[in-house]
Amino acid sequence: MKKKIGLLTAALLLTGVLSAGALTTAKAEAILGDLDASRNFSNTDFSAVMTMVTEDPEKGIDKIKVQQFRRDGKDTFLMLFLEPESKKGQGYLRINDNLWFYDPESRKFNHTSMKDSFGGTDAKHSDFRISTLKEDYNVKTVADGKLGRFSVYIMDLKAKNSEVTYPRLKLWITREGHLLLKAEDYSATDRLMRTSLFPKYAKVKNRYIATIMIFVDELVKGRKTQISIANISTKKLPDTIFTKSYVERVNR
Amino acid sequence: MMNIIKIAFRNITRQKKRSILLGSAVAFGVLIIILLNGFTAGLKETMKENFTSLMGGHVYVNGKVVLPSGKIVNMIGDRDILDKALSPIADEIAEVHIRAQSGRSEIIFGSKSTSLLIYGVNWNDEKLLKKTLTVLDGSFKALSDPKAIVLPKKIADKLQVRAGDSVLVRLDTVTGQRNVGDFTVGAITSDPGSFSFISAGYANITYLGELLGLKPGGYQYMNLYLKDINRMDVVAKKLRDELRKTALLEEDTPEDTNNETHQRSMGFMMGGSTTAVKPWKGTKFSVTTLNDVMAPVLQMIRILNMVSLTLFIILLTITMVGLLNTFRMVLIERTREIGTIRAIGMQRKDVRNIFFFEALFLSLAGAAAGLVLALIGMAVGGAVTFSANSNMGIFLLNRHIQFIASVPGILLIIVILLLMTLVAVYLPARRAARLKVADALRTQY
Repeated sequence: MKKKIGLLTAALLLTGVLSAGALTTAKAEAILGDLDASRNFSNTDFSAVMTMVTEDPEKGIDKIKVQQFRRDGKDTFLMLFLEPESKKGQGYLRINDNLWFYDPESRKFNHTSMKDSFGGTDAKHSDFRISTLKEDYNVKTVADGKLGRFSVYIMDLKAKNSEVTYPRLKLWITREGHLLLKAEDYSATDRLMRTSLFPKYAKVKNRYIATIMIFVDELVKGRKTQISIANISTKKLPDTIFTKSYVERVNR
Repeated sequence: MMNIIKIAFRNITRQKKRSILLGSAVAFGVLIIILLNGFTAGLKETMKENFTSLMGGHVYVNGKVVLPSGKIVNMIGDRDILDKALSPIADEIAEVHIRAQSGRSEIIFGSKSTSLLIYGVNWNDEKLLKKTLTVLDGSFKALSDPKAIVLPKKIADKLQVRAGDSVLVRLDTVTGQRNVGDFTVGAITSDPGSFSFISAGYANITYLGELLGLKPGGYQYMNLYLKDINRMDVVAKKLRDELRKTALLEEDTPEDTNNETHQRSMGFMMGGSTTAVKPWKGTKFSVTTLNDVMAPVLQMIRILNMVSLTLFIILLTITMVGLLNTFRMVLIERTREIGTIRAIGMQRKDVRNIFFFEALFLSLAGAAAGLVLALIGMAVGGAVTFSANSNMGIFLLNRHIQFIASVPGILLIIVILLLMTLVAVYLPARRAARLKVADALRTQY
């Protein structure tokens, strides 16, 4: 009996070692690079319509629709609110490393932070700009695993410096195609703050874009946001779109 | 002279209705000006008290440090420099408070959450803060737990927490990382009016500093409670001079002074970080005072005082025109009487003095009535208790409007009133005094 237990323990340990060593750190970092590349549109522009549904135990269900324009080559974006009527015309414009919020009622631009939540949802502004996982994080551990029916790499990432928003991330990336299916964001005190799920992807010009994203707030029970993306286009956008005057003009 | 005073007094009672109407007009003017002055004086003191409690002192020192990435963060890095700069002004200081502050934080209990400004304080040093807070649930003894947090009632009600409950606080470190801390509600305090307009919680500076990513023993702000509040500008200047000898001061660079007013008013409220255009080494200090923070409020109070003074002068002018007309009528009514008393030996100056005394008595009686009514109004207005969640929180002290009746202010109002009365009555009084006895006796009305 003792022999059997010993064999079983050895087998489990061996499996663990193998799974942990399934991917070298260099390969894992290359996958992070792939992930950044697949989520960024360095050579093309990107536009889409996003529908965000936020469930909040206190405020109930809130739905907003946003027109998104991105030019990742210049780390620029514009998000214009289409719905609800009360927010129509408001917009977030990121230009020259600054994020501006425009309110058509006051006709003023106010400076805001990338770390703030987007329009009261569980998404952050930083979720809509270029992805810099490889630049910001070191791979601490990698393990093989399963997420539903998908074989995945489970990567534990540690921020390279104290200025990265989340000090620790845990990612579930498909072995094939290297698509991000799930992410967990941890605080500096190593508490799980947010879980992000990416259950649906669409193929646009040889790349996969997450068309459904779910952000679950792990601190406030029952608060989550689902984002659906439609009308995706990678056609070149006019330069004038990424200007304050466009945001003002589009509201007239 | 006594006879003249007696006659003047008797004359007032001869036309009771007219005297009451005139006196009422004077009383109304005095009532308005004393009430408004009492309100603005109270407002000024309330705001001073509120801001002193909220900011934790009269003189505030904060520092900015540039990270290797160029990002500016709020923290005092060179504590030795600051300690050395404080020694020449040590005699002026009653208490020194070091504080940390979570700029943007959210407090969470189950499925409920709300935003909250949290100050990290050293409970052993913050005796005045403890005096200001009234504990409704829990106790200050619970604050020996480093993870204890003090919440205002408004926040506790919103979250439906009680003393002893565990809550989470989501905040950013000084370098901008997201962080979460576990706290236990140590005490729930009444929104002391003092700062019910801003929901502030208090936590142990060591634990909050740890969550904010400060080094052990680190802090972001040093607030000085002075022995004499009127010395704050002098003390601040001395401290600036001392710091300038060994460290950078915000006013020393033009880009700082350009935005100085904004930074002074907003610097304490927000915990945001920006990127330095021209990075510097060490801590760049800034020294501000309660007067700097309150500058916009004091300006508002000055405007309010000007408005009330203008209103008083308008009301007084209208009343004085009424007084002038009344005494012209009095002159006509009493022409024969004046002729008679002049005929039996009264001097011209005595006739003039009767008019003056009569008008002065009338104004004094009106002023006394106005003063009494104003004091009653202040007592009633000051007794009204406003809701803890009132939007007027900034104007309230312990949920009440504070009125301060200043004796020199009231005396000044009365002196102005009496002088204007004498000016208004001067012409009819002079005419009365100059009446020829024979003409006055011949007059038939």
